[in-house]
Amino acid sequence: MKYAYFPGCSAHSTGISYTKSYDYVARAAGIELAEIPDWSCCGASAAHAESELLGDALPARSLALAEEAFGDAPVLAPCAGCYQHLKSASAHAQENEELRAQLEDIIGRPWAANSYVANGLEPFLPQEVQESISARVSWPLNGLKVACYYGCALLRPAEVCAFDDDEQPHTMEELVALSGAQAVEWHFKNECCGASHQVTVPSLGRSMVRRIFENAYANGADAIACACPLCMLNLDMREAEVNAARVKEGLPALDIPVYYFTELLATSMGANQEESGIGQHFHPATNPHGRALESWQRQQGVQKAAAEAERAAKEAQRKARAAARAAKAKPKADAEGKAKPKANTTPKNATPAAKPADNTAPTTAKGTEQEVIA
Amino acid sequence: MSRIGVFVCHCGTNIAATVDVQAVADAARLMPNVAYATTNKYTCSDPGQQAIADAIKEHELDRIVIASCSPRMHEQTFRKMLAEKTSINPYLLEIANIREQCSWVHKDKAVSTPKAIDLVAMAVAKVDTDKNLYTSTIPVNRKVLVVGAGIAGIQAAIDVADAGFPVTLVERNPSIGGKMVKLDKTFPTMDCSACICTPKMSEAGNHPNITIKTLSEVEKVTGYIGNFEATIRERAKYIDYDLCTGCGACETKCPSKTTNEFDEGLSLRKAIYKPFAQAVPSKPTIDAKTCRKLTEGKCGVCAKICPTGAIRYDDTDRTTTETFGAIILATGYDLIDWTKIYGEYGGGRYPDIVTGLQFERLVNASGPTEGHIQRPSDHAEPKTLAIIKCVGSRDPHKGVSYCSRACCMYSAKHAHQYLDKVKDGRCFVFYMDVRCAGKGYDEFYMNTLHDGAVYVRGRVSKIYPENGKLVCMGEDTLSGQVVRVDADMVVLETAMVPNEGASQIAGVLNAQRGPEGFFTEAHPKLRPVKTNTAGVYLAGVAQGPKDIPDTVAQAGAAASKVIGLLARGQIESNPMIVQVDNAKCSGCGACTDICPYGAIELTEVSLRENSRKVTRTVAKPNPGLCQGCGACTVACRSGAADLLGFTNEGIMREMEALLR
Amino acid sequence: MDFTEQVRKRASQLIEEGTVACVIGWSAGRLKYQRTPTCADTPEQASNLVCDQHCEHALGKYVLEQKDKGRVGLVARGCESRAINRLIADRQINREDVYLIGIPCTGCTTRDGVELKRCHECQFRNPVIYDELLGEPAPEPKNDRFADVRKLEAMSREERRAFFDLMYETCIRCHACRQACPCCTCKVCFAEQEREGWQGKQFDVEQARYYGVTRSFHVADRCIECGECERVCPMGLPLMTLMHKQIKDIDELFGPYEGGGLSDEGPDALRTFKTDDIEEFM
Repeated sequence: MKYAYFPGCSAHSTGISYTKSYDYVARAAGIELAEIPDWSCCGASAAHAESELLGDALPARSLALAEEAFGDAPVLAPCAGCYQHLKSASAHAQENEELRAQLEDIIGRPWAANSYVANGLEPFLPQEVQESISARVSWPLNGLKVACYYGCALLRPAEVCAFDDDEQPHTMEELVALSGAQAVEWHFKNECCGASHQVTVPSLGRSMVRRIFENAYANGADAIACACPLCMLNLDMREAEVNAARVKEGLPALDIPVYYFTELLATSMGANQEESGIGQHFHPATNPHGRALESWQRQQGVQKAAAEAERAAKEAQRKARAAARAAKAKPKADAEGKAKPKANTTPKNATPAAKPADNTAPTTAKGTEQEVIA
Repeated sequence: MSRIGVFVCHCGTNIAATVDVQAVADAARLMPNVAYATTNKYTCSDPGQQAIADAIKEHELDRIVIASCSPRMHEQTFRKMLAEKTSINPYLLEIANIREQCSWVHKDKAVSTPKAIDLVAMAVAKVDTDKNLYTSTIPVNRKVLVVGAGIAGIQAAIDVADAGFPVTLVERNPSIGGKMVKLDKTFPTMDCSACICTPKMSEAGNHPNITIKTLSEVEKVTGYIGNFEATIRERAKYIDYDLCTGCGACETKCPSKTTNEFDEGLSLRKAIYKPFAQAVPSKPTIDAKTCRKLTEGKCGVCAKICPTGAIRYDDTDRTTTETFGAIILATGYDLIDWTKIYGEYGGGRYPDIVTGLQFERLVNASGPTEGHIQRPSDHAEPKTLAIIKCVGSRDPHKGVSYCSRACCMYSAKHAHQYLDKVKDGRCFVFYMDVRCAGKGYDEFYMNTLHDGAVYVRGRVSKIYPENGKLVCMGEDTLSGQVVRVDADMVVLETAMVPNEGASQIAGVLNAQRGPEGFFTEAHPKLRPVKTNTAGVYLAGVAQGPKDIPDTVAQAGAAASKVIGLLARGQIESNPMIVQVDNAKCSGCGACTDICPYGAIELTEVSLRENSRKVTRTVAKPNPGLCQGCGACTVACRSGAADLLGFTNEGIMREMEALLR
Repeated sequence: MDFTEQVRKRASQLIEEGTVACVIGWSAGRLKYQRTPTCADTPEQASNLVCDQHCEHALGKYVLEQKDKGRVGLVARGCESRAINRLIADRQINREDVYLIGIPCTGCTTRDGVELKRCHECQFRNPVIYDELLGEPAPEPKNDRFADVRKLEAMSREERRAFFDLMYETCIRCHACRQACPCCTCKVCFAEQEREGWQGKQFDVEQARYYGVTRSFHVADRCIECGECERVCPMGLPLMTLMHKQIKDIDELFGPYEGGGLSDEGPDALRTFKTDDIEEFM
């Protein structure tokens, strides 16, 4: 499957590990990325804040170049921000013939606005592609619990993107599962990371990033996966500051690396650090397999402890019932406080309880048992 | 030679400001057959009408043209005047609309005056061809059909039945009572809902003039006002109601359990069940989808245990066809299915997020928790309650664009009830506006604030679970702050949408509905209970969201219209209907095919043609069904079908007058 | 094509038996290739009937004049049978009022052997209903039904204007087309209703156009494409071109319109409404 590839401005800078890992996985899956010749910036958030027309015209230029070079091949923009802007421009032009003509005029080249614009997840979703990726997973990340973070731009506006369920998306989970990792259900999949507030109103930006980390943690995630260089940047780069704030408040620091979903796939397919780009993160993210194993062992530990507790409780219950029976069987004369019936000490609630039984998650130290709230 | 009188109205300045009415009258005086032309400031007023009557007498006029506002305003007024004050047939009248079609759409007198003169010339030419027309009477069958037996249907049925007319009350559920009987208390008096509804249900059930058909639907309706023929299907109840005593033994032994619709899915019921204790009729029915006997042929315990042998597994649907003079639609509402729309509230995955109706069942003493407010997941008493208003309402993007009118009041009621029952509870109400427009309503809302309900003006963007609580992420727009409420339970006050039974009956009756699915009234201000289908009336939320007092009032209004119709026993037909000239009609049947009302049939007649007697087919219109649309007159190639009052000849003369 | 012998035989027999009161067919005219529509009331008259490729008149409508006699026999080729279906659909006769002697037609010719235009364009030569068929069904060549329309549609606006102007300048308002057409069975034609005054009496191209175009609309969704109108027109107007245009439009907009008169009941396209009718022109 061939795509007209729009790398976006961060592809070779802050998003370099996305590009590396994407390339790795795409090659393995048989997806051809043909870079659009002379592509230019999609305008990001700055352009359409300045003028709606500029916000449509900048992407239009690259889309027109794609059309010229590759006809009606679908356009692939792995960066969610680029995806959203290219897709919006395309949608606006498709709905409004006058606008399309105006944009053609502005960019000075013909543009039919017919091509499909795909985001970074879409090329890997078809069944055959998933199968070809699965087939190449040689070192799965079993045991690693991953929270998939979509951010805003992949899903909204829903009428333009029309991709996945905008409140309960599941496509990234499907792909992450191919690497052997286990996707966890959590509640901040589509909550904003603060985007450019990180720069303009840093305190606000930090709190938004912090919420995301804390909810991932609360739901048992070992790592976060994402599909956008800006999401990655905000989360990865600011984790240290989030941790600093937490420590100041007496809370333990979090150790949740942030990966591109393609990094997880590439690593499970045997890519080394150089090929996958996981060595270039802010928050240390190398050795995902080690983390996976640790997580696995922890879960086993939790399960073992839970199984133990259940056994012990059942044992105690059995003993108590036996004692009660024995107490009844003894003649009435002996009932005068002689044998204290063990029944009083039976724990009433026989359900297995993990050691710290309450679920006030974010405040407990890392490494203790966590229940995944589905 | 006719003597036509032309009366040009100033309509105050409505017409006179833009049209030189004197010039129009002067021009009219010169038109063919015009014997008299004048102007008047307010022709529709009493003196204005008297002036016409006097002029007719003085100038011996025999046809009238009034150049004024739209005939929809005053054609009836002037016809009445002619009938009562003169000896001229009321249909020898033409109205030239020089207001809506002239003075109100042009600004320049130089343009509008010649146009007004043209319009008058057309009316003069047409009135010359008009013939005397006479209305006839259509008998009205003195029986009424009420579709839907919620409080609207019940009230309307009682009112009509009290006036002495028999009513058939059709309800698709196994009991009458609708949504009102599910509620706990009603605002603003906090009357127990069932306590005020069940007496009405009982009255309807015992009324000698009311026949209740439950588990029934109206399948087909043909006919017209005064003479509707309705086919009603009574679905199989599997129980002989004559034998059943309502003892309830069958229900105790039934092994099948399924979701209880009456409790809004919060509890289970048996396959053989009475929907609720006060059901009317107070007899159970078997749910064929979950009964083991009816689906698998096993069990049959209820038949064994029934003391009177009333169980009938072989029961079948019954259809009856009856004639009714009028129909009242009171099909009510459902709540919008928010789980399909609001994924941000969990899309139905979290059991502790309930709808307003579910909350009513929880707080109801006869509900699944016996009136204790407990959350569905673990039956714990919620110490923090969040109420979110406008879920689905006023949301053109995802829900419906209208306001559901009753929810501001019932959310205040819910907050009040919660704070009353959970003494140490905290209640947060997220709102956009608080609309308390009725009697005692605002006072009730103020009371709720005094109870301690915290009203936060802002919407909730997301609800998610954390540590056994439901985190509501909202905002307070008045202070500009983001607000987070960790609630134990959340109540969503969802939009009212038309009941699914409405679309079924709309198809049967071809009744008009608005874009939101509520039935369209004939005029939003002046005719709120009539529809554009003569003889079909509306009551309750079927016409639009409203609360119980307004529903009961509207039901009474619909009943009064129906009583007025039936009391007369007959109605005057519209004489401006089609007439077929048998001599010209060749019997081809084009009119029969094209008539949207099925008002024409083909019949054999004997005629004299070319000095011989022949028997052949001609078209015969039904004056009761014909609505005077004129489609047949267009389809008729030879002009045999002609519309009285709008004859082919009249229209040709109008055009010639215009093109002269 | 020559069915003369069979027709004579069967017509005589049918009248003799009393199955029919009369038989409508053709008899020989005074000139060699001339034929005349004839109603034979006796077996002797029936033995003079002729049926060959010079019988250019379509006989269908004559049954209306004869039906007082009792059951009318009719020599019916494709065009006659479709005319009968049309008359039944328009409730002018009942099926049992006629007895159809079916003729598998191979088309009529002029005296020089040139096929008539109406036969060349005929889509259903074999009778679509009949009570008996005198012979094996004839082949149905189904030539291009809309050839003349396509020529018309290919013309420029000015050319088309000239086409129709010429047509209606030539029309003498003799109404022969109406008299010949089996669809035209109105008791009083619109053109003769003075009181309403739809049709003006002036003898000019506008009034001629009004008559011709209005009649074509009245017939449009019922036309049986027999071509009689064009054949009988004394001025040689291209009436079937106009009718074919109507039919082609109806076929495309409300169709399919395989042909009128294929059944004896409706509904006809222009007087029925389906919810999926196209509404682009509204």
